[in-house]
Amino acid sequence: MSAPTGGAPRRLVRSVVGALVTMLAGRDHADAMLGDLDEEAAARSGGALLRGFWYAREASSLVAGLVVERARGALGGAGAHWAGAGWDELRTAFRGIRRRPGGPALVALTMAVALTGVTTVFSLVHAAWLRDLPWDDDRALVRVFSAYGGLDGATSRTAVAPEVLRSVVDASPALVGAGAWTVGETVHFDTGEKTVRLDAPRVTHGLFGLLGVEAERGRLFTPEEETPGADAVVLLSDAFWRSAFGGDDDVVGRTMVLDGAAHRIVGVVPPAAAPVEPDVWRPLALGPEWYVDGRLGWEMLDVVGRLAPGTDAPAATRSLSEAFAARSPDRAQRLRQSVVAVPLREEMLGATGRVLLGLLAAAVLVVLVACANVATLLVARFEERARDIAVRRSLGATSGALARLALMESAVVCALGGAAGLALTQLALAGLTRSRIDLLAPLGRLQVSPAVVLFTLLAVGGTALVVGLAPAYRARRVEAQAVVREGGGRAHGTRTGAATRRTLVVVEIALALVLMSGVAVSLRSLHALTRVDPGFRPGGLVAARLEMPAGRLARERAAGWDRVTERVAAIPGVDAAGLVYALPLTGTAWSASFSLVDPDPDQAELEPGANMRPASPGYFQAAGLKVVRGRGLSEADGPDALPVVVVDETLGRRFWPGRSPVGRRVVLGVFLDRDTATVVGVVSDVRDQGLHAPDSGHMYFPVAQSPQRTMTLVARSTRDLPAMGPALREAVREVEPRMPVVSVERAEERVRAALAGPRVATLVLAGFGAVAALLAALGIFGVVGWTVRGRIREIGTRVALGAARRDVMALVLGQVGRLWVLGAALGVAGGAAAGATLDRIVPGGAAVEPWVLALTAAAMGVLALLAALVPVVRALAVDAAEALRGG
Amino acid sequence: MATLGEFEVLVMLSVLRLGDAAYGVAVRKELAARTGRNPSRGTVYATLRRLEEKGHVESQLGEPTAERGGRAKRFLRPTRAGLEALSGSLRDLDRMREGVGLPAPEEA
Repeated sequence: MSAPTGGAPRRLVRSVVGALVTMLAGRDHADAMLGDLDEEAAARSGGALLRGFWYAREASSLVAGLVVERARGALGGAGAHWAGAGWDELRTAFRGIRRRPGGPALVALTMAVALTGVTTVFSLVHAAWLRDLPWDDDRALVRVFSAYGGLDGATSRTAVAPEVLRSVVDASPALVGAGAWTVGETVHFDTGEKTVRLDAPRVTHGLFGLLGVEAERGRLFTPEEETPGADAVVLLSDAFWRSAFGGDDDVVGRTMVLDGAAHRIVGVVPPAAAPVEPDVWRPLALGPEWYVDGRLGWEMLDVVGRLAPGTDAPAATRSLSEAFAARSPDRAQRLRQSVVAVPLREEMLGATGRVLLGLLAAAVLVVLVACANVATLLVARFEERARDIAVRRSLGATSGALARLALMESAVVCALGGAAGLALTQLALAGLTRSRIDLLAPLGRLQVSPAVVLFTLLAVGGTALVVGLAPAYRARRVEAQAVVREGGGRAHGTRTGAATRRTLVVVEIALALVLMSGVAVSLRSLHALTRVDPGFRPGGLVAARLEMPAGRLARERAAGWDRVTERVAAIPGVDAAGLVYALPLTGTAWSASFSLVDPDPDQAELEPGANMRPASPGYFQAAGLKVVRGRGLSEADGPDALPVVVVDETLGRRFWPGRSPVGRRVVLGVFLDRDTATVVGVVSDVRDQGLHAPDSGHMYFPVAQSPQRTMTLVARSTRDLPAMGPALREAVREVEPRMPVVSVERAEERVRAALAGPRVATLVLAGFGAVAALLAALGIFGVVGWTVRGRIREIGTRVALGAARRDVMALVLGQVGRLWVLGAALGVAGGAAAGATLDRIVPGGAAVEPWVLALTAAAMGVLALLAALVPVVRALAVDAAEALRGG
Repeated sequence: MATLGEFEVLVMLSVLRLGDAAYGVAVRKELAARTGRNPSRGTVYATLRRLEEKGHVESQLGEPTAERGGRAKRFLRPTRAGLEALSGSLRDLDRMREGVGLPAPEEA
């Protein structure tokens, strides 16, 4: 047989091994070692694969041995000792585990569960924070908003007016560039067979260049295409290109009919080309009428800017706001309007990030509890092998060697746990990606990345060290004589061993308590959220999003909306029907500014923003809003009648505090002809942007006086969605055959969706809390049970001497009580300290109050008693004679 | 005086037993054959390297052969200092062992 030569992979392996060994042992010695290896390889029989395995194993053993030897030389003295025998100890540890796999399997399982939690949450955090956004130098990117100063310095942020983009943002020295797109624009795409509604914002030609995105096919927009008349061109998103055109290579140059007009496809942009991903993009072509001062309030652009080198977001905000104040001193002063820059990452992650940090803290706590638990198990394992260890000691094993063995055992089980944890994490992430939870949407597709693997490795190393320290410490202190004297080789171990285990259990109780108080707080917050009155009655309410076909004049739209509402109200089983721009909690916000014709002299607040809601007369009744003052909208508020608005209570309080808003006049540019409208009534509030906080106020006006293209039809009915959905679609088709019904859903879904994020977060946290509590209970069970076993002879003696059952119980429960008191004291202190992180997990979080801590501590006490139940029963059953005889 | 670790003692004895035929492969085989242990390649070679650095063994190259990929064997021989260290370690073991009742080792 010849030396294993030939084959590119084998040659590669051999040259790598050769280089390593030469590096570690010097050329002369390396030659002999490699020669020996070849000689033995040549002498081996078996297939190429088998010999390949053998070669790989032997070569890595050689390299490892030489590395250890090198480390020994470098560390010298004590360190050398540790590094030296690592290899052999690893084998011994493996052998020990193979011989008695039960305990280590439990340990590995515990670690797997705990590490899965922390690794999964870390993956999310990593996806959220550490991963770069898909754009060039994304840390220099900012979102730019118009801001209005409210009471107490609170500001509300809105999109940016085109004129502000041109005269303030584009001109700012704080930004090297900015790009913008219009908010919420859609078009109807006529495929020839049917009409499809597409998200189709208009975008400035510089946006993609600013983000460092290039066209995947064709080209991006040119500045010339930003001229009205030259703008019948369109860019496809990658997803739309694939779904609508099957990824056709020849798509560029073809035409699409959008809103009845032919548009030429000039290119395809790659996935994640911008912070939003619509179906198609159109050029932002605005005529000169958009840039007159009166249009400053028409805030329709989402803006991204790139910070100039050496600038940060706060500095950019100052610079932009100064420029705005110079451009529009009146608005800056009267409306306290300004322009702000917010880091894009922060803006895209927002609430998700805060929740994840809280969960990460919780997951780390679980790992610590698991570590303490596993450490008690390993200490016990060492104790049970006390005789074995004592013999090793007397045979000359140094305490260091035993400590190394303990560490090695913990490293092996933690590594197994970590590997299992990584596999489970992969499953968990796949599940989370599929779950489509709103909260996780900004994170995109989730998977185990190299960074996550590295994190797991570090976590395994860290836990192995933490877990191995206690038994290692114990092993160092095992004295042959002490073992013989105290335990007599039985399974009860030594006094110091007992102290170590008790300490660990106290730590477990404390950590579990911290987590459980977090759970309690989150549950309280969640409970509060579920009891929040959203201000409308979602039960029995079906909502359908409708779109008016393109090309109709305002009055035609008004008439169309009338027809649809009337027809739907006539469906059997529908009690009430109405139209509204968007149902609460749909995340649709139309913020616009207005001004007061005759503001009260003492009216402190100048912010003129409100959430605008065109609605039909039937909306309030159908959705369950109450008219509190004056009247609601009526059929009489038609296109030719005087413009009217209805405000909600919050808005009324803000602008006319202590007075009735009815009869006041406001100016806003949304009506057909005139701008001044009269407030005719006040309705009850709704929670719109989330359940946890009240909104800044809504202004409702008749859809007949401001007919939008997109509206939501709501119908209150006793029939459920499966029956209502088709009936509703049929009714719409009857009166408006070309009107697409974009979606139909129960309004209850919206409320449920608003609760989904907090619910999932609380569920995960509760899961962590349950695991921690379970582990702590197991720890108590272990340490108490083991004490009882060790003290059977003593208990028997006491019983023989006339001790009552009560005394025996007191003996055992006394120990539980001491563990609990210590653990609870530490846990309550920790819970109070950790409150700041834990109460972020659910929005509007309740504070960590003393009674919550007291309650969780009490719950932990009950759990401790339950855990001690079996050992107590066992202690009570001790028969004096038997214990003395057998003990 | 220099002392040897347990494994170093075994390796030294193996080298001694083999005489002129002592090189890496043979040392490992001898160890395995007589003790039933199966020390890893890394452990054996690292120990040999260490013993040589401490001056307990010296080495000398043989003739390269084809089956070894054209590489020479490195033959080992204990030095005087090595022999002294070995006998010192063995003597210490014997003295410590005296009068200690130990269970008989199980035969592998």
